[in-house]
Parts: sequence; C-alpha cells; structure tokens
Amino acid sequence: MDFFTAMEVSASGLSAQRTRMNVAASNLANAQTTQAEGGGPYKRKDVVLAATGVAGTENTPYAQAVRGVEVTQISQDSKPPRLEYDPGHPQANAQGYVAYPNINPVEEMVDMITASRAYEAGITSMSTAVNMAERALGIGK
Amino acid sequence: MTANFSTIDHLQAALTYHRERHTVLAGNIANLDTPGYRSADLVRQVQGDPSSLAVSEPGHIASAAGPDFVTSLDDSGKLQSPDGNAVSLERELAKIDANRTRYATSAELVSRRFALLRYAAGDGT
Amino acid sequence: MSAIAPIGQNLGLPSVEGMQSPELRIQNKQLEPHETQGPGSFGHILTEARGLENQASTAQDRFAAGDPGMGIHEVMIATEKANIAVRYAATLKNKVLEAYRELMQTQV
Repeated sequence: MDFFTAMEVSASGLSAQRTRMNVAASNLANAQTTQAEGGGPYKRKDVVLAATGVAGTENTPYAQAVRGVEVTQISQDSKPPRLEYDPGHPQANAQGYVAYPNINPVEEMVDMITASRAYEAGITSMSTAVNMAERALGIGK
Repeated sequence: MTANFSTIDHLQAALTYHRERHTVLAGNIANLDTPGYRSADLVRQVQGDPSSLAVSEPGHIASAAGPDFVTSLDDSGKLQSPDGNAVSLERELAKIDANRTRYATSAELVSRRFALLRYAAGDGT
Repeated sequence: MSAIAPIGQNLGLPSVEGMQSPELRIQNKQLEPHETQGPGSFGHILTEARGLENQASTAQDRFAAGDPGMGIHEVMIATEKANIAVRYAATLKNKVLEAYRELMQTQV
C-alpha cells in the first residue's frame, strides 16, 4: 500500500464533493423551473454518499482501514411541489396554482459551500501524500 | 554491518506507520459528509502483547495483519451533525499535518544515518 | 625471511604467517572456520553485501513492476543499504590488498 492508495482515497473524496457541487448548482439553476423533462416541475436532486473500499487493496494488511467515498445514488426529492397562486401563469392548474420545485436556495448554497470546503480539504490531503512521497525519494541523497 | 542498520529498520517501521496512518486520515477527509461515518485513526502499539490490547483499550479494533498498528474509531460522539457524521475537519487536518511532519523527519533521519554509514564504509573518503 | 614465500603462493586469509602491518594485523595462525564465517569476518561481510544486493534488486524489480506492496521508502532504503554494504566490503578488500602490498615491499 504505497501512497497510491492514499491518493485514490483523496481522489474519491474530490470526485464525490464535485458531484455534490454540480447537483447543488443544478438545483439552484432550476429553482423556478415549472416544466422539466417528463412533465411537471423540476424535482430537487440529492446526493447519497457512502464509505467504500479502494480497488486493489482487498488483500493488503490494512484493507479494513482504507475507506474512500462514493456516490451511491443521486436521488430525486419525493416531497410535493410548492404551490403558488398565479392564475395568469401558463402552467397554472384549474385552481390557478402553479407547481414550483420545492427548492430552498439557501439550503443549496449551504450545500455548495460545505462541498467546496470538503473539496479544498481533499486537495490538502492529496498534496500531503505527494509531499510525503517526495520526501521518501530524497532518502539516501 | 547488519547491526548498524537496526536504527534504520526502526525508522523504516515509523515511515510505514505514518504512511498507512495518512491513508486512514485521508479517508476521514473523503468521508467528511458521509452520513453515520466516524473518524478513524491508526494507533501504533509501541510495546506489549497484541492480544491484551483489545482488553485494555476500549474502542480499539485489532488489525487483521500485524499486531503493530491498531485502527481506533472515534467513539466520543461529540459534535455530531444531524446525519450522524462526526468528523471534525480541523482536527483531521491538524493530525494530517503533524503526521506529515513526522514522516518527513523520519525520512531525513534515515538519510543522515545513511550518510554517516556511507562515510564510515568508505573509511573517511 | 622465509615467511614471505608462503604469502606469495597463497593470498588466502586463512593462512598467513608472522607479518604485521599497522593497518591490519594478520596473526601468525590458521584461522578457525568460525573466524572466517562468523560475524565481522570478511567472508561474512561479503555474504551480507551479496544478500543485501539481492534484496535491493528484488525490491527494485517489484517497484518497477508496479507492485503496490513495494513502497517508495522501502525500495530507497533497500537500495541504499546495499550500496553501503558493497562499499564497505570494497573498502575492506582494499585494506587487505594494501596490507599485502606493504608486506611485499618489506625489505628482507
């Protein structure tokens, strides 16, 4: 288990956080989308994360301690849409209500910020592994 | 000659430990937002009987392979977020940096020891 | 001195008679097996250097093949150990040769 494994772990984190950022950005961009693909308002998406092993480390001594992360699912929010009374709107229903996605922009911003923070931490972690490997190369010089 | 390498062997063990520990700490950063995840760390057993470790240190899980390193899970339950995640970013980053410093120091000490032995092996040339 | 002729015939360490040099004392006796094979003897040092050299080669091969179990610091340390051991053996060999040459130059 050389630094390759540590870097794989860090890379998995960067990838997962980037997905979170993309999903939050998508939710923010579509907060007012009343007509999404497949009909109806845009449904808020959520990222489901789970700890995972790293490929190739199964038989190494410390395999159980190696934990990366993966996105197991990008789920769609099942909450009912937010109804706004607007009879003049082209998408208004018989009662004059328009269905909007149940998205809170503040929530999405917070998700983006935490994902961004975790991403930066992942960069630090990856850089540290590179730095340590370079120190090892200097042995015996 | 072999006797002169014993310090280097100890330092090599330290280098291995710090590298493996970094892998575990990197996992904590990767799982910063994973629901239900608890921070892990790699603890080095300096001396003593590996079988006694499970008894004397609650919360430690003996590693499958060597008795030297033990994975410890953070059982403190402090500062948990609503989804059960209990990773403190600042603490983990601090540990990663301290660990990196020890790795670098061990590598430097190995280099210097080799330089000394090289000098001795060349009889002062 | 009659001792020089036997030295000229056989440079092997086990049987050298009666000569001394400041750098390397060669005692007037047949060396016992444990003295040529035991720790500290030249034979042992050569064997050790060879062993470490093999280990370094193996480590380098494994590293080149991308074996995940062979880390950077492992291969660097193995390599440097072998270098030092071989260097040490070469130094000792030079000392022995130097002592022999000095012996040969001694006026009878």
